[in-house]
Amino acid sequence: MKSLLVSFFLCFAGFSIYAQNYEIKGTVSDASGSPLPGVSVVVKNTTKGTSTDFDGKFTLSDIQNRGALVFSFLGYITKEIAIGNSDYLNIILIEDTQRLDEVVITALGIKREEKALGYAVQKVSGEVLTRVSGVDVSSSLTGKVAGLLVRNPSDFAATPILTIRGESPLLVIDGIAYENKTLGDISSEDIESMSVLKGATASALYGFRGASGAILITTKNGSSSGVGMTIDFATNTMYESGFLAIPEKQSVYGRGSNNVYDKNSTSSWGTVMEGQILNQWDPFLKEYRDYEYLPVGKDNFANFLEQGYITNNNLNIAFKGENISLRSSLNWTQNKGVYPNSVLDKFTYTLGGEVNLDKFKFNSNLAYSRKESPNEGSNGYTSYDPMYSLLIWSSADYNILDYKNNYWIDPGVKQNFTYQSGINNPYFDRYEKINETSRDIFNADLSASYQLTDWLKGTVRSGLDFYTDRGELRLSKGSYTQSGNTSIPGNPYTWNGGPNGGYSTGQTQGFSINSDLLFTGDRSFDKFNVEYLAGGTIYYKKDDNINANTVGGISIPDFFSLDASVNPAKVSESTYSKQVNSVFGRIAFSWDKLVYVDITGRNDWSSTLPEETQSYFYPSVATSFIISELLPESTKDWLDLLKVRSSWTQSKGMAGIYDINSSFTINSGTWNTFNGASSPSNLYPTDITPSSAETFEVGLQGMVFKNRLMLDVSYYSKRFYDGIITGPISSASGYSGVFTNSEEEITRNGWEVTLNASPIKNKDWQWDLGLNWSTYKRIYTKLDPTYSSVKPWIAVGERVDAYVGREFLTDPATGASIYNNGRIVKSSYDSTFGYSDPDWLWGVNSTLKYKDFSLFLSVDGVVGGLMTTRTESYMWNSGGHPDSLTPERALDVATPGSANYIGNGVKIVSGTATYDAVGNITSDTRVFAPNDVPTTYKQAMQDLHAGSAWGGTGTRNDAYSKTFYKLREMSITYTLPSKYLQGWAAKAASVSFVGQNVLLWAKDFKYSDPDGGWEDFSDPSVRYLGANIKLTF
Amino acid sequence: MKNLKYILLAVFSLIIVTSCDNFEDINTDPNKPTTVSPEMLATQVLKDSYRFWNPNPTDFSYANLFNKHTAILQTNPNPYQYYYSYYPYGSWGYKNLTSLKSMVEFSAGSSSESSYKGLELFMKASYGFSATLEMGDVPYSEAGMAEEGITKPKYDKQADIFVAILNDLKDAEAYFAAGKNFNGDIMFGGDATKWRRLCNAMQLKVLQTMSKKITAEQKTRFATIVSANNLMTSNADNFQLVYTDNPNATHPFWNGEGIRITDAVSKLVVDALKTTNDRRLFYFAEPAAALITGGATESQFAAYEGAPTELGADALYNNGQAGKYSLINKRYTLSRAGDPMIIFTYAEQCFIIAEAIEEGWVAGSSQAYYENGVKAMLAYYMALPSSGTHGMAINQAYIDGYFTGAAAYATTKTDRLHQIWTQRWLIDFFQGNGGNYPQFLRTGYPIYPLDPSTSMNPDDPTLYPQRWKYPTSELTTNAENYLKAVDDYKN
Repeated sequence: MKSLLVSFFLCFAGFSIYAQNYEIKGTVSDASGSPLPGVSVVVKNTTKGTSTDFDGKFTLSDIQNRGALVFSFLGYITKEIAIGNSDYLNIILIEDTQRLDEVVITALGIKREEKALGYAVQKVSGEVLTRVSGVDVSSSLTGKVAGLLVRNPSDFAATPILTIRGESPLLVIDGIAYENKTLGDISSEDIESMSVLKGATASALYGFRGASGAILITTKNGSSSGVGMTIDFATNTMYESGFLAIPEKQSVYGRGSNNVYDKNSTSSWGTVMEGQILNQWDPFLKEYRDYEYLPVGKDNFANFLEQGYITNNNLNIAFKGENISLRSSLNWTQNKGVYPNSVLDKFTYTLGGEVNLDKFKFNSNLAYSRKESPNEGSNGYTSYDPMYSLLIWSSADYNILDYKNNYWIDPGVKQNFTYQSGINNPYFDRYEKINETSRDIFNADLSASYQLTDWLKGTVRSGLDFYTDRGELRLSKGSYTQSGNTSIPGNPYTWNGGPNGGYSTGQTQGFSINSDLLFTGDRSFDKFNVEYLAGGTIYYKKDDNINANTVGGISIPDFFSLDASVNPAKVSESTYSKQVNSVFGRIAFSWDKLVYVDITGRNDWSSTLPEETQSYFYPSVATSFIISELLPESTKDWLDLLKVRSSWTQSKGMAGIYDINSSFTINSGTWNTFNGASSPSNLYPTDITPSSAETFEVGLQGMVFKNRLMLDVSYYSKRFYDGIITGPISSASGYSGVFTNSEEEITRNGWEVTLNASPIKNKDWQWDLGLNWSTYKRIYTKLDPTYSSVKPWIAVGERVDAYVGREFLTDPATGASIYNNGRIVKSSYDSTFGYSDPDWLWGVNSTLKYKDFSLFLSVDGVVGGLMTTRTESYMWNSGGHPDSLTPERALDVATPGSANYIGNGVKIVSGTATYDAVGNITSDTRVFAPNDVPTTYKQAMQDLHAGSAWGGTGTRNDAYSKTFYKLREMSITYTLPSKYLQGWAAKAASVSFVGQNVLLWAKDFKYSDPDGGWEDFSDPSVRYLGANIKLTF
Repeated sequence: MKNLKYILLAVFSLIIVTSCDNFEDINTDPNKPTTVSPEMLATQVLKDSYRFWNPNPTDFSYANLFNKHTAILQTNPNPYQYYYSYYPYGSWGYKNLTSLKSMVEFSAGSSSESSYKGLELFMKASYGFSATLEMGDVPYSEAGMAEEGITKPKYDKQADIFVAILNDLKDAEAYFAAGKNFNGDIMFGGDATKWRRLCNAMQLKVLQTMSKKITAEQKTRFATIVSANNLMTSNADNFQLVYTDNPNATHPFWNGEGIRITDAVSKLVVDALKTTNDRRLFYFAEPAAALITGGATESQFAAYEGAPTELGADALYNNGQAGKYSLINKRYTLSRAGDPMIIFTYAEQCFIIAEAIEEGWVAGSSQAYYENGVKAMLAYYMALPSSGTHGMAINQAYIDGYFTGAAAYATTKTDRLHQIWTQRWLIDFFQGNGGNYPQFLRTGYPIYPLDPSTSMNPDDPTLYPQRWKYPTSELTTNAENYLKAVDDYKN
């Protein structure tokens, strides 16, 4: 160890004390002739060595015998050359295309051999993401990485949500950790490659921002293409071709709430629609008159929908010269939703380049993207989703097409609809309740590095992103509803407007800037290698919002302006800013490609913590051990790599912006012209310390049969402690909480498995298969004696993700449901029905190539976990559920006022039960008899299925399993052989038949798609099929 | 090129230098003050305490069910109508004690300081009074003391709470007596004299509420307050929240036509008003459509029929569809300003004293108090716009001739008490304040209809619910005291 340290010191010092014999010089370059700096040159069987300079040149003096030299460089095949008699050697190193020494980008852009890593990193190539180009590249990432869950809501314009190991990862683009930029702001065609750093150790150098893992994206900047100019064009257009899940509705019973016709009732608990003459609204005369009552609207929902499509088009130009490369790309994506008046456009423009001189390297990227929708519509029950009026709160007794382009009685003032209150004409909702949104985001980065000495490189890197989100809600006069829970920037629940119309507008602007100064270097000494890094980061972000809405309606029909507010408009603003300064360091050792050790440390100073605790340090250590190096030579025939790895890291987080401040809330004009103010509802002691987590991870990776089969298994355990919480205190104390560090600890344990195989690989055929599987559970490992909730399901060892609701009461002896006056009885106490996190996630990707054809399929799924079906619970409540056509219902309708549903269970004849504070039975004298009291079918169904839009989880019957699997993407590609391209300008061309969201199987969900991870009137899940054409010039 | 590294270093150093040491500025919210004026705190507390909690027609209509003023004619049984609740837990207003404390602090040294101190104590007493009536033993003596380190306030016995409330009201009265008018008051316009009268009247109400357990000494206290006569003198002293056309101060039932068409006046109310030929009926109700079809006219008492609140929901719905019931008067939906929301009225004070005279706590003419109370309530309605009252607007001549027949003060004490209690109960019609239920539990009159086959009281459908459950969060935040209170209640 001592000699090791001495050697290390000597390397660092950069001079040698050996006596001189021979001197050998030379140049090392790659296959294209470019010099390779930093190549390790070692005299075989000695400890003697050096590395090449910036021109790829090296000089070795003091050589005692003319043996052989070993040239090695990350990502290239190691070469051994006999010195012979020459004093000058020209060496060409060949790039290693084998996965064995695959290089991955790790935190801060450090390139490392995959086998050196002590933590889990999974790489995704840009090509995988462009086989099918949808609206958002995240969808194409679904199922491609073990431990990465992408939830894809079927709602129009909804953004997919990514979580790694259950947490939201940091997005890093070209080395810059952006705050505001999202994956959806990037065109898939601009992505060169993606590295997913799964745990806190992998992203330890990103500190608090990387504590939940990171997605590292390297964009194309022209440097990877060959010298000269390249133009790529790609277009991917897909049309709606049916639905994976779409709601249906019964069309036997019409409107009413008590088995009789009631023209004002929006429920479908009415009488049979059989042609009887009833007083109904006439859509064309625009008045009530008597005519035949028939299920003319049985296809209302399908008739309302329009043809949807997605088109994604990219054109880019790349140029590469000797020392310079440039790339510019333009992308346009348009999505037409299936509801009327729903279009989303996305534009991105990028410009990136790299200058590569002697000791100096400079690169910069600029990107601008704009997303806009003239009407994003609204999603969810409380936001008056189109299903609210079309599916739930109306019946099949009117034809929606009669109201198309016919939704006014007095234009701009009074609407024309079969109902005169409560719900809007669905066309009115689409054309007169407008949710216009736009998002502009611009980002730029600049990175310059300079080789200060041959053992130290300095890099300055700075990036910023700047965004503006705008939103407007315009509700015309004559609306029967408010704007609902539809959000505008700065106000998530507008609830504005009403019969007098309304207008809300909001704008959020913000930026983040992240600047790094890094010093890096490495030294090799025979089998021993050391890499070191020291650096600092300044990170600052600020967001400003201003939003306003009319009060009391708009004074002029169809004129949407704050100036048209009937009463003075309400305006509010907010500003959030924070800064974190950091210094960090890393040192990594390796010995003989056998053992790798990587240590990092970081200290942050955060503006959001009190002065006493705003500085804090956290370390990490990761090791990798290549077992296969120690195995007998004979195993090398079939075993390419066998590696174990382990790592430990501590990560710390800070309080939220302004969280530690005690301040008053002011309410301008709270009552007439009086202004109000309230004191803070929480206590703010000043002893808040950072929240912490510790992650421990082990992994095993094996590659066999010339990399035809690769298996990677990870196990991790992350313990969250010192969490910063608002601890609840009795509201009788005058406050509702204390801002404090919790003693509660939650541990997340998980497994991830990745299997890659190439079962077939020959001249004509190649079949590549990738499988990802992951699971995790979160459990309480310690409770806070003061602040942890007192619930039966909250205990050490119990899962954190309990799905909590109210059970139906049962006879403890038989389990039979208890009925009271014919109605099923719900418990007065909460209990748990199961868990909400999925048991596990999986994804399979298969690419089968035959000559110039390839077939790509991507299937993924979620198994287990509960979530509430809001759509179906309301279909039951409103009487529209297709399964509600039962004999009991028919009897109720035949004799309105009669009750014909007898619940299967028992009733209480005598006695009572008493309960303790959490709902356990403490004494029970109840005597049961079979239930024989009828109730109406409607009452029974409404008791069995509770609406949950305003809170709660519904009943047990509304808790559905999340289990589903999906054929996410498919493509059949024909790549034109180059011989056909001769005489054309194109260098390469391919055409594909593609599909996204192709097939769905779900265990419980029948009428909606569970893919979004929650279900609140999810839009019909659209199958997209189309074509993809790629041309390269 | 060689200088580049130094340039880069210089730039980076510059960024560090310019961006350090302003952390406190960065973490200060420019939109949230650390000091405010006392009147703003007063306004917010009063609004949060007395404005209907969720001012929309639906929730407002539900809030009138528990005291049997109205009935909902929908097929889904509304728990409030059938002795339960969507949310069967009580609540307390102690959260506002923090704002009140700041209000007093910020007013230190000003001429209004004494009045703000009075307001703080009055509000605390009010919160304690409603909390103990809802739940029994609750925190009071240690409420609002988190800053003093008491985050788990003990639950006081109801009897002790009443004593403490009375003392606090007395102290509040003294502060108002010594105080000047103050700003931010949306109830009385800052009139310290009116607040002083309210503090006295409130003591009478508290004392009477404990009538079954009252001590001789407390009875004397009642008499002393009455004879001191710093009490409300007319409707001008009514403790009320006046709605306006401003959208932030709109009557909750404005634009409530959608719910009004399934919201009927109860049979209990209609019958009580018919018995005394009380024209308030024409302010409260629309005639029953079926009775109008049957030939009655809207200005006849015979055109009105109340809905039995205990009838099953399906039957109520069907009868409602058939037009058999008098719905809530349309006038409530038409005006943003609507009727002022009365919290504590001169009329109630009259009825409290009338009952006390009947019980012999204090000397005087209970008839005079009874009649003054009724007249005050009739005058309250007379002051409202007469539109929508079916041609039967209340006028002074009507008021003067009111006390005949069944409305004349009765001859037996029992009948007289029934008259007092009925009139007192009618004060709260469609006020959404739910305040009469504890008085009903105390007096048992007027008898709230209860049918065990429709009652949703989960504990025992044959009984009137006695109290709400404690807030569930107490099990986590104040377990020891909470569990002890639950045990004490059970034993």
